[in-house]
Amino acid sequence: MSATAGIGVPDGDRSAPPVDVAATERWPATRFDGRSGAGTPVMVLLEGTNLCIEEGGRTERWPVAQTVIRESFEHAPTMVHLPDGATLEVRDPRRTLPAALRGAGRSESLVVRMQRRWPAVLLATVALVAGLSWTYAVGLPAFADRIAQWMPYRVEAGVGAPLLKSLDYYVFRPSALPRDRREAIARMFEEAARRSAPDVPVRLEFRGGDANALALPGGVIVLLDELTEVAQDDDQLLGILAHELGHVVHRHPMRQVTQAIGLFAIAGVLWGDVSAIAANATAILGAMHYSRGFEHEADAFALALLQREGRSALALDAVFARLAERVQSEGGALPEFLSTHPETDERRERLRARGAGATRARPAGALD
Amino acid sequence: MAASLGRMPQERTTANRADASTDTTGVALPNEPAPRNRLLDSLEPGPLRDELMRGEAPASTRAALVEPNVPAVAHRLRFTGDGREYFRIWIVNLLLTLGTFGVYGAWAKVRKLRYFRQNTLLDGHAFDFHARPLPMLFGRIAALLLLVTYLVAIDVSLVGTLAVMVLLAALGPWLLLQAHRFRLRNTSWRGLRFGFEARTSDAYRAVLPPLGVWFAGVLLTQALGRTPRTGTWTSLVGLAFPWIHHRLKAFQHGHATYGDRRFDFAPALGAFYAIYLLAGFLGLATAAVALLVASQIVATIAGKPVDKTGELFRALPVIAVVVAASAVVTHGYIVARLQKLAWAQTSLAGVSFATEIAAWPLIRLYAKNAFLTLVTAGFYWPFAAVAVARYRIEAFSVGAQGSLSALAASTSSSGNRGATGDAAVEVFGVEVGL
Repeated sequence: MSATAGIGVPDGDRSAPPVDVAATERWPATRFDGRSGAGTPVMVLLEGTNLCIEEGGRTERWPVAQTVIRESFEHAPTMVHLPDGATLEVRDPRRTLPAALRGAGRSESLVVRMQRRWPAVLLATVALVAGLSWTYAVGLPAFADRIAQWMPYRVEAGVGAPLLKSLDYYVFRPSALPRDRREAIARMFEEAARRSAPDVPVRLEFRGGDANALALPGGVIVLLDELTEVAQDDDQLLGILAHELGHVVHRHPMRQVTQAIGLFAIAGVLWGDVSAIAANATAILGAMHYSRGFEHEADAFALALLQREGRSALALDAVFARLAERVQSEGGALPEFLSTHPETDERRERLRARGAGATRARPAGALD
Repeated sequence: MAASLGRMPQERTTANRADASTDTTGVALPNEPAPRNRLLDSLEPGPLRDELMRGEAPASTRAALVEPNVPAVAHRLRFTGDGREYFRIWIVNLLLTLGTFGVYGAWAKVRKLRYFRQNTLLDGHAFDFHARPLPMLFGRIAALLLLVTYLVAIDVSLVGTLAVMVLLAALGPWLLLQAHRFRLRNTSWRGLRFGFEARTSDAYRAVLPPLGVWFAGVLLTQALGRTPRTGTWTSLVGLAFPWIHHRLKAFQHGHATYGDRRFDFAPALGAFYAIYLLAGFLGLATAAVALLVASQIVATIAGKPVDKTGELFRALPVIAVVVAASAVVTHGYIVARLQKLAWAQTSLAGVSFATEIAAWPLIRLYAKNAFLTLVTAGFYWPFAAVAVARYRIEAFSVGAQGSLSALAASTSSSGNRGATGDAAVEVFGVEVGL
């Protein structure tokens, strides 16, 4: 044990409680001069706005304003740094130092006072939960929407182009569709797009791959070959492409990127200390929920487009049914609650209802 | 187990023993009682002798009775943090950090580090953290810009990737050096600063070879594209990871200073590999068991046997459970074993270090923390952080011949360096902590 082993509350303090605590209270401390590790036992007291250090018979005085006093924690010694490079390690088990320092003109910050009081902590908890809920439900989506509206398509294309490039490199193959088939699909899609979304620059790309279609930032829609086999007719194919066009029209890719960045940043602050896995999982779950909203928006756009084009509004539901069947036959059934896409049935239900309504609402001759 | 791993210099042997006898005050004493007993036996029977036998006498008294060249007293670290207090600090600072779009994060970080340092006591004296928040904020901004540059460039093209690699090779070692300096120079005990005394060339010598191996992995992946062979090659590069870790640890521990004393690190590469190898097996075994249990549960709920493993992996909760179980076991094992090993290999001018941290209790603690943090939607986290800190810190002891005030030495004066390195290391996820 070091030379400081004998430090404790002096007998005088224990036996006779002082009359005026603020004026006479002394705190045992160890003084380190900053040049050697050997400590000296001292007593610390406050005299007006001065911090006094009693060592043996000598008393050393420093204006409190010139010292650096660390935030005090419940069970830890309070660290005081003096202008001459010395450190005082003050023992304050009864936590009377902060109040005494207030009297000497050194009050604690609002944050420190909040940290100490349970009501303030409770308020902070409520504010945190409310703020996070609002940000997730309203703030972040609205912000992402703003960003997307404000960002020109050409800037967005700057994000989409390298993305397509790396997808081409890692995932896609060149399309194996005959040229005239590709041209026919492109013509059908472009005409429909011109009528439903005249101001939106959009480009259809063909690639080889699994039954899927996707919209990239910058208005690029990628159609993968196998989807043309799953779709039974042009109505169904157009339904899928219209759905992707809906994503482009509503700026979903850009909004998704912005929302994802926001979610990862927030989750990083919330969970970064805990683990990167927890932070990423939270962000991914949040993003999945957002994307469900996007799917509904894109579905609504696709239904409207199919209607305007005089095509069957039930086609979208039909092609989703075929896709779902394909997934099932390949992967086998899983309990609903464990599936990564639990919303498929609920979404199809919605599409069927609205698609049927739309078809019925039209004059009889319009179907042909 | 501990004794079979690694090279253990003669003078440190006692600190390495996990089963070192522990007396009633929780102070670990070496397993070779002979020198102590000789002196004890020469004492007259009486209260002092009884106290010494029971281990109740102050460490300094005991140390004074021991022969000078025997590593006699292990000073246990003590942690006085409290979950409820840290919860209050944590939630207020979290609110302020989120409310200021992360700007307050630098202040919150400093407060957090101070909380854990000041509540850590060695020989009755607390540690302190001296960094100021503003330089840390600038460091964070610089590191964020660096990260964005990296992510953008690495996605664009091979040329971009190469450019980033050159930049990282040029800056990386220097940043790591700055990070170590920043962390250590801003930490003090008994009014003396820790420090990191390495030349810039030392940093480049230590860090460039691991960076080279890592870059080789990235380049191979890019060059080979998505072929089955890529996996084989990248896992080959992964085999170098224990070597990388060992090299960085040796750099970190071998150049640290306290006052004018210098830390020393005795290499133990083979032991690093042994730990990683066992951790790999443990992780795989845990994942297999978790998968088996999960498939049983799923089959019971679905009312039919699950015939395909791929089918199971489409279920998000199953993946989450398997990954979490495997991560907790692997991480707990690696942390415990490596801490024990790394500190056993470290010394400071006649002072040795030892930790009784053990894999199984740490894994149990991690599992409990993960579970409670999950079911409380994160609100348990500050309690978990305090519990882990308590376990890790209180398992740690510093062994010295007699009094630790032997460490009282003159400081090498040194100014403060920038915080960019520190933040960069944090953002890029390099573990440099205690």
